[in-house]
Amino acid sequence: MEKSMKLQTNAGFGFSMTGIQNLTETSYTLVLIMLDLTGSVSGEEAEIKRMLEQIVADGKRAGWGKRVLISAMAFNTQIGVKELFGFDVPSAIDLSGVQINTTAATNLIDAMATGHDALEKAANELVGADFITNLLLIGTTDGEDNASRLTAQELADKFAAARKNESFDSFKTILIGLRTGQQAQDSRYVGKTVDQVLTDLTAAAQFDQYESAKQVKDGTYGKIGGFISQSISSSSQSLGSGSPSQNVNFTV
Amino acid sequence: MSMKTDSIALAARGKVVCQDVARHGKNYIIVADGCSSSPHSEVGAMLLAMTARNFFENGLTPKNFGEAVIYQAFATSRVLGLPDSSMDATLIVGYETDETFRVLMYGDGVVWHRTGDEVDWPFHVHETFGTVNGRTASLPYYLSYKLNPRRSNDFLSAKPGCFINGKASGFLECVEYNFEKRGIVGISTDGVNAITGASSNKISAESVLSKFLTFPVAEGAFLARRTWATVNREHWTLNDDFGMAVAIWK
Repeated sequence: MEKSMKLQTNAGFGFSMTGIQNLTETSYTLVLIMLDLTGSVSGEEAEIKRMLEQIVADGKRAGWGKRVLISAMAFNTQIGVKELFGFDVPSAIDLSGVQINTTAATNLIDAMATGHDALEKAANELVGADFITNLLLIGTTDGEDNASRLTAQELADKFAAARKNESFDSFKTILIGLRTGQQAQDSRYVGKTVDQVLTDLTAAAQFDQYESAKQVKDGTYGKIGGFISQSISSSSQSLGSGSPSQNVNFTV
Repeated sequence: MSMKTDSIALAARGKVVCQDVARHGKNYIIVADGCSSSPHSEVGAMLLAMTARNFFENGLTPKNFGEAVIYQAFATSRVLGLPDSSMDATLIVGYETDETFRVLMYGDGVVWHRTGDEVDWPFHVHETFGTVNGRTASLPYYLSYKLNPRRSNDFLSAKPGCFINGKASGFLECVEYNFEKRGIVGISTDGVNAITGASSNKISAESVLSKFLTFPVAEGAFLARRTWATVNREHWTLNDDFGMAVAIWK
């Protein structure tokens, strides 16, 4: 039997998850980190990769790492959405071959919708095999959406359906904004900062939590990595309770 | 056909220590159930299970299996300074032979084999009884009685017997089954008979098994997942420690 299985969303997006035979626990938190790798984060590739390494290393050290399956995907308008590594326990994740390439514009809403679909598909695989499963979808972006086909309302509808799905223990979404102090560039958002645009999106798409860093300085990605690790830990601790985890405070 | 095994042991609601133990390996399954009134029997149950596991892992299935297990486990218990009665525990094992899947039961519990052709669940429910203070009472046989002639005599003087599927028979130190290697073979402690539903209604062992043993994906910890998922979904309560192990052929 193959170590990992290939899955596909209804829309045809392909991704991977470790095989059921490799999972020794009876319940798992599924975590999907959607990373904005657009042209505006060019030059920060190494820090982004270090952030992923930090999250995976935290999972290897901490108790929660045994009951968490993490995946990361990149998004921009050139690639759409692309898997960086498939859902697996931190101890089995190898980041050595992961390439962080930045280019093109921001398809945030479309990407989060694809991420949602992938997360839901993976969760259905687990639930179908009797695992107790909760879901955590995290998106990072350093700018407003300027290239999606879907609307915030359509994304909200997907989130609402997942929250209502009684097969899942819980479903939680977090949006993290970077460089949000700057003015939004897209003509639809004249006079607004990125922070204001993302705050509006959080309300319209019904993200459960929004956090932002107005500037990106040395250590910002490290703090975001720490925040993501703590959020995963919190979700893992709530597994089996039937409720989403408590929000973790974020400070930059 | 390849054989898959899995096992799970869970403490009864509100209990701090689980006295049931369940283990499995490539070609064997084990459950043990420590006597609730014997101090440290959760350790004894574990020692019996781990000693049996050690035999299987080394490809050893001595003719007098129970005797071999109890004497070796007892030696370990002495090193730990445990009382003899800590070894008071039911032991049920199943292992693959060339021709069959053999189950040996020392004590009381449930054994079943379902090939898939049957309409009903074919159980072998073992209960042991004896006469204590003039009254018939539950009196499981424990391998630990071999360690102490006085306790062995006390047990035999209670005129012990077995019920197998409710039918009385004479006392049997070990009940052996040899099953065809297909379908599913399971062994369970008596905790399978002590599960209640959301309305405190008793769930029959047949209902428990039909829910627990319908595996959508027989990979990894398939029995453990199924058990947890069912207990959560059905809001069942375990009123006694519960240990179960299965071998399944696909």
